[in-house]
Amino acid sequence: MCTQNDCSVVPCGRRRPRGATVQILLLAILSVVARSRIGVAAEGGDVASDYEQLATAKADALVTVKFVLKLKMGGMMGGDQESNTEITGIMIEPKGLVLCSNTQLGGIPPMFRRIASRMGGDASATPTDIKVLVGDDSEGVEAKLLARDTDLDLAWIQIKDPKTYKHVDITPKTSKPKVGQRVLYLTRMGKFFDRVVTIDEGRIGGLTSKPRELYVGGDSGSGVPVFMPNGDFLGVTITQTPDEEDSDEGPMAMFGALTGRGPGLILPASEIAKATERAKANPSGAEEAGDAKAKKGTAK
Amino acid sequence: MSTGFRIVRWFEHCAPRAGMSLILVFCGAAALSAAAPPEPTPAELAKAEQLREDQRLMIELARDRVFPALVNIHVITMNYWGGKEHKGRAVGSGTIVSKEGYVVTNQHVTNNGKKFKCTMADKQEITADLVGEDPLTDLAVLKLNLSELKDPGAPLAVAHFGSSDELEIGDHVLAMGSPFALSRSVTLGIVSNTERVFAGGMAGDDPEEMQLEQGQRTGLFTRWIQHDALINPGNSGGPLVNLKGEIIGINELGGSAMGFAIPSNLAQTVVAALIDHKEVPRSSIGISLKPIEKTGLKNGVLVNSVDSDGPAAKAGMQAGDVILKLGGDALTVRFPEEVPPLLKRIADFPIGASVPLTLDRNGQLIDTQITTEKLQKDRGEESAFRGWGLTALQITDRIMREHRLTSTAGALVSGVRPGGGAQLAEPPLADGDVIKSIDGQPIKDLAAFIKCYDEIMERKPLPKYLLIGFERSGKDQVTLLKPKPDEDEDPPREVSKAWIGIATQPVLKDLAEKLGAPDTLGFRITRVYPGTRASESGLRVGDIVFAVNGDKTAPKGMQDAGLLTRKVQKLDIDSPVTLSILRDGQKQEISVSLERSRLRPEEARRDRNRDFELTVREITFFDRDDNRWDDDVQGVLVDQLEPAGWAGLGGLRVGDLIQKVQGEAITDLDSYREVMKRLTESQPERVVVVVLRGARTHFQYIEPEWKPVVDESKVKEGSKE
Repeated sequence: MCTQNDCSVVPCGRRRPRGATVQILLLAILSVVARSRIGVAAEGGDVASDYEQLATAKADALVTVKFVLKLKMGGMMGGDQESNTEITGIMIEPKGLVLCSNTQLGGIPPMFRRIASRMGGDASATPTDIKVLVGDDSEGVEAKLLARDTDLDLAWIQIKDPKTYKHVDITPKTSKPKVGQRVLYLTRMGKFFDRVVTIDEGRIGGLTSKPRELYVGGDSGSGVPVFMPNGDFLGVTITQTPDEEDSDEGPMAMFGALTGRGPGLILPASEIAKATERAKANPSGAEEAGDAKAKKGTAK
Repeated sequence: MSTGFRIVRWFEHCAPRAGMSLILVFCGAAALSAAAPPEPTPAELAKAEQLREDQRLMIELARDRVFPALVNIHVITMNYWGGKEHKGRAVGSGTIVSKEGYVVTNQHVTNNGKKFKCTMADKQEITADLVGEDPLTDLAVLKLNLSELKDPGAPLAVAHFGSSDELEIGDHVLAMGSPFALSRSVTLGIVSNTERVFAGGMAGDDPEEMQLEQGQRTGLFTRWIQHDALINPGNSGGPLVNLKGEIIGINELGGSAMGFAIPSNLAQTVVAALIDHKEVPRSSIGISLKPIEKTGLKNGVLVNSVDSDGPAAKAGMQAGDVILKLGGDALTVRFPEEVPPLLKRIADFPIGASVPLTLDRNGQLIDTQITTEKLQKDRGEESAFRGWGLTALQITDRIMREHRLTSTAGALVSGVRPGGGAQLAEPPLADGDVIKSIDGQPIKDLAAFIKCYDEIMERKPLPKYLLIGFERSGKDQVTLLKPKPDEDEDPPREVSKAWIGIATQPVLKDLAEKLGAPDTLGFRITRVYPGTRASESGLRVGDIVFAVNGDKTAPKGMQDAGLLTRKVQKLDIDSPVTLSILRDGQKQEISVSLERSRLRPEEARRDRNRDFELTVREITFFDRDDNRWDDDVQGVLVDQLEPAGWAGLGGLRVGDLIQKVQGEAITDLDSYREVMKRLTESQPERVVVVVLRGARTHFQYIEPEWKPVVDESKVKEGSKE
């Protein structure tokens, strides 16, 4: 196995990486390693080894979700827009179930929706033409939005023609981390950089139980899977804004909502596993039955 | 240094010291004036009174010869940007100039117009059809649909043209029209200039460069009448009237108390041509001209440029030549004001006529003959191709030259919609590309493109990809475009979670004290939703919930308002839950079976109707609760109305509950879709929609435009290989 100082060499005993993608991957890993040296010295562990193992084991499960976001902004905000967007998702089941950030998939938190409404607008965003790109694939396979959970900032995408895919096991295997715990973030760069997998490192800076159980990590954006150094799945970074009823009134609340949020919040694997089961049991459209039932006993 | 600048600087320098003395001087003058008012003699008073009467009578007579023929014009427009079409509204003014109901107005009023309505002097509103447009003079003619009048046989008020050549600087004129779309008005002013041209200002260096619409020159033949009768937006197309009550101009431009009108002598010939031919046939020799003012020349006019494939080029004319004689007549164009009459003279030659010219080329005199060609429109028709995410223009001669194309074949991409097929094509299509072929089929013009598009979009299933051949900057490229129907998808729905059918407010420390239970922080029930399991459990408004399954639920502040909801959401749907409540000072426990969370309005299924330009959605549980609608209230809710869309123009509003369409009851989204489908097939002229708005029903009348957006026959005009 290579050491920290000779990481430009292809790791011994591992599958020989192919093509430019892997070269860029190594370069990216090196850059992360360089940034993390202080942490490494303090920890005294084999950081390069952790990174390499994680990248090798999980890279195939880190997929790109490509979609067209249809944004409707009525009223004073005016006009509809469409944009071609790519985000990173995590394959969490071998039959093509992908987990990603709801806000990145165009989900509008209720608070922002309400603020937009008060400003005379009517905002809604619908992801369409969803495709999942696995590994080096640039074409993608067709997929649909299975379910979304705005509160947890999670969305599930199901590949329409499922095969067997490499996936990340999201079953909770680790207990609640301690403050100061070293954790690894796995991301993909954009298409210009061949969507290369990169690893970043952080530490758990705090724990909170409100609005739900969350670990406070580094500022890494939403939808990023977080792992323990041994490769166990710890959770996913999410965005949390105050609930609709918790927020202050007025347009400026949009900015106030983001203060005091703290950097990067990690939703624990246990919550994700439960939410995933619920999503699979109640995919989008299943609520119609519930609503029809509800319709029978509405207000008089 | 300009005078204006000097004055400003003088005030900056002197004002602090001189300000008080200036104020005193003005006050003194005012006091003096007030102290000694001049006393008019009885003869002077009588004369003034007579003058006032005469002036009033003169204005009244002039007004009454035109005012009854004045109309307000309301236009529904279709504009194109961002790769798609956008409807809009425009307003302007016009004058009835014939007993058949022809109305003269500005072309920039009718531009991109799809539907026209005119409000008559007696406030009747009738539709009108576009007869013809002449962008080069910014004039257009509409024809009123007189059969829609209450009394179609009654004589129509008609105004008449006078001669603008008789007009002199200082003459009084009346401007009539509908400023800011308000009802008709008249203002009085004098003529400030009778031969205004806009060279060197907003029109660029040359009078020929003026554009009101991108890519379309205007005002080539016009020397405007400048006047100070106040006009504002909405006056466009309205008449400028002399005190004899004759139209001597058509108001076109204005601002800063200056108005500019197209002279009646030009307007009259254009109107006649539009009525007779639907266009103004004109000749072109394919050159642009420059006055010789700064050239050092004494005679002639400078040829500024020569169109490479135009008549002048064919006759051997070159840029830099000086035209000394045209049609046998010597000419000299020294100033910009002299350019429009010369351009008009060239345009007035019969199309295809052979015109003799004498040129001066570097001191050598050359006699030649030039054969005129028809002057084409600068800007072609435009259309949107929704399923491919782009808009395209007919390629005219001028577009061909400006884009340095070799022919007018193809269709010019004028806009690409973000995220649409054209943008997602690999490589993506972009503004300025010329589409030359689709799946090997040549595209000779916009009409061919529309036909090909329609054929492809009717195929089932749609082809996976289309091979588009296009030209970009002289390079022949191909790309693959994926067509897709322009359909909206329903918004994504939330994962269902456990829910109790109550609304609550947090009970914090002070409120708890006031309510007589200082130790019971929790959530006060503000509503128990009827028909839910909560309503059957015995929960009541006023109960304070302080624990869920024995777990205390105490908010610390308003930021915890969602605490109870979140706690419930963690539990399983259909599972029982025990709520600890405080009721009338007594603690007790109530068991409730949790149910599935209800659909929120933003998740409701929607339907977008393109003919009516309206989006509706199904009613949700919360809509019913907010509006206190029971199950008998049915319909679909208006969710979005497109700007200037037919539904909006028909008076529908966001939030209206559509209950009936053309007499058929709307029970839900599916029944609505069925009714609308039948309407699309039958295409009635008027559709009656009954909506519930607040507590009242309203009858709204929608008149959708069923015709295609682009008239193919119109598109084919002017196409040239």
